[in-house]
Amino acid sequence: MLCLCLSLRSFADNGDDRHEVAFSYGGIAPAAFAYSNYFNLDFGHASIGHYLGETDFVHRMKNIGVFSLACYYHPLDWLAVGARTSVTSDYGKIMNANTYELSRYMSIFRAYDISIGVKFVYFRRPWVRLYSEVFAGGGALVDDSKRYMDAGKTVHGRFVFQSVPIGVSVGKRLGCFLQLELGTSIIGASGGISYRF
Amino acid sequence: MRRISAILSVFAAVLAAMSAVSCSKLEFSEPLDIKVMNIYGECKGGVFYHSLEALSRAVKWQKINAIEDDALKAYFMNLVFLEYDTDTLDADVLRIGNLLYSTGGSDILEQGSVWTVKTVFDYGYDYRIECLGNDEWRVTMSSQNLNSVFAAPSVVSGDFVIAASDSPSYDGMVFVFTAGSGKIEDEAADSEGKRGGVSVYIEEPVSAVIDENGYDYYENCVREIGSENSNYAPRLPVTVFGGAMTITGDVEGDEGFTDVLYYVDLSLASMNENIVRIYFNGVWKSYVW
Repeated sequence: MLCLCLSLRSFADNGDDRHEVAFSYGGIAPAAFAYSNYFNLDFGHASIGHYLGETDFVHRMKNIGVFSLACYYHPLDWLAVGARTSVTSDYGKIMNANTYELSRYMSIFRAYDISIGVKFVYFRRPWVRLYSEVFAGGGALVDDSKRYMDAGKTVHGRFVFQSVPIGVSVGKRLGCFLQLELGTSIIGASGGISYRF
Repeated sequence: MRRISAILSVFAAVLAAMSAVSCSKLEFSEPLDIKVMNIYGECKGGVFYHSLEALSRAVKWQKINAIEDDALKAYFMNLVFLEYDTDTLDADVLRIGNLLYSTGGSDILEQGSVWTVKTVFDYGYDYRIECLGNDEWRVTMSSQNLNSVFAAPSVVSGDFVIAASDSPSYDGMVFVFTAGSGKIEDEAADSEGKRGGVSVYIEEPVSAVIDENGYDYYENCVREIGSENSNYAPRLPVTVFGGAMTITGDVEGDEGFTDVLYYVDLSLASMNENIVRIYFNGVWKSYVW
């Protein structure tokens, strides 16, 4: 992503600051809730023999939040085009049902999203900007729980749509931003830092 | 100034939203609780419901049939068997819903009388009732264990002495499992050669009542109570309370498996309150659901 943005820079006019890189963190990840609906966190119900014999239990699942990296190019003052990647993951604590011994933390699933979109900056001042964004693309959800259940990894593809109804960024070249998020990667808000060059 | 305050209010709102956003966390009850609850729930539904349903219909029908006043008899027949077709197909066969009773022309309230039961739709259902006198019967049965929480096919079997309690109601007639045992086990060994089973033994007389009249389980069969979702294992319509039982679990073909034993105390439970105390591995725990 960074290489792409840096290569774009060579085509831009110097000093125009038309490129932007933004790193953010936010939540809530809908993938965590969607996934937990069909992930069996109880003991396996395949058969009575299997159920009685199983001792490992996924005791707690925790989502790490969503980390995003976005790259923009501003051909116009009020318009930017860009690409965005997001990563999230759930980690669980595996516990022995009879001894309550903590076995290990392990990744339950990982989701990687890549999308392209546009940003509309409708309020511009030297230090403050208000904007909205729309992104669409695809993603992969890697089911790591299968590894724990001795069945290998499973990868699910998914469609990704992400929008920022409103965001505010403060700063000139190096800035910070806070934005509302609505989409398949994040529902809620995210914040981070950006750099224009 | 207005713009700045507008921006600040937006900022404040977003900040408030952010404060509510954190790493999402899902927490669950202790693993042992979940395992024990599922095992007890499976035994309660599978063993008690399948062991009682046919007897319950037969005794109700026979007692109502003994009422001399025709109007009163018709009233109770209609009340209790509203949703079931009840037919005397011939002198020896009685149909109640989709259960077919071979009566041999006898009265199930009379000592020594034996009725055998089959279902209209065949799924390996065998049920035998023998009257021991004094409103007490010996029930031996086996059938496929439908509506199970386990995906693999399993079979349920039971051998109990069941008595009718003094309850005044025909509709909500309470029965008491005074002695005996039942079992649910995997129909076949799995790919690893393991075959599991849970057994129920009556320690103190346990009361049970079929609590959803009008639902003909043997017509609608598997996974259709209240939901069309095939992944939903619905509750079987039986309420169990009073007394105590022992539940054991064992797995054939698993050398490392240590048999488990739970002592289930239902003395605090009633028809309306499902309070279950279970003793396992030296610890008593109470469950209410």
